[in-house]
Amino acid sequence: MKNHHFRYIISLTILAILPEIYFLSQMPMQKIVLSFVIAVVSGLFIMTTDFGTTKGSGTSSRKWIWDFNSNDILGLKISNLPIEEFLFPLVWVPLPIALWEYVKSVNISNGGLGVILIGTLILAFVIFPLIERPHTKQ
Amino acid sequence: MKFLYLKLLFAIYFIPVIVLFSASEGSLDILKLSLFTFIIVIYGIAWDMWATKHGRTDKVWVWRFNPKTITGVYVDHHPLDEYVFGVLHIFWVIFLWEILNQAIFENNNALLIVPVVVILWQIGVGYVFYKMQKR
Repeated sequence: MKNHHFRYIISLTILAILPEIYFLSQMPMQKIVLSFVIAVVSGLFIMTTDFGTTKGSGTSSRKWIWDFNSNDILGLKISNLPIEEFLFPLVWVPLPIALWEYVKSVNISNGGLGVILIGTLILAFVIFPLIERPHTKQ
Repeated sequence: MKFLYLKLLFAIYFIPVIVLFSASEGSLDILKLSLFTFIIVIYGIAWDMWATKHGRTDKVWVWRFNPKTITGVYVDHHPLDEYVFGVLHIFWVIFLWEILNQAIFENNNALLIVPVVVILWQIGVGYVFYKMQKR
């Protein structure tokens, strides 16, 4: 089986980290700081839960909820969690905040939100699958 | 352990979302929030589907879900639980953000107690869940 160790980190960068950097750059510094404070503090429960959900993963245990493929992650793990997963709270907390601040500033009557919606759908369903072709059957 | 994921979401996200929503006192533009949540959930789920879809056609996937601990209901081959997570996570982030904005930038300091209690609740639930999983 072929290994694709950068698959997770590359997809995370394209779909989340780059948009996060762009939209955060539109915000005042004090709000950027606050969004990361929320991310770090909430990371305490997000990561604790993540440790719990992957406990016993890859085994016949009936308790784990999700599991990561060693072939598609960088390979460094803490307990059962790949190090990429520790970026989750730092990405999926500030990114929605930055996008929400942007959306709040858009005038719906001018169709601004429609442009964002279409752009999002194109990015999610057209561009990304083209960049990242599915595997062939092993 | 059926419905474990859904039970976890209820304790760690649903209850906090209700508390935060109540505390936000209807100060949010519901139309914008609904459209925004739709966009983000579609966005997140598309990525989630890509990361898990290979499991259907070959043995390569980035992550996968345990059929024994989810509801077993699938929408477009994707667990319903993940859609629920997407919606709850976004509501939680936005309500928390708006309340902190009011508390910090609009000097409504009394509101700070709500996010503090909510986060402490979530850390507690996360810790109890982790301990239960270790047993």
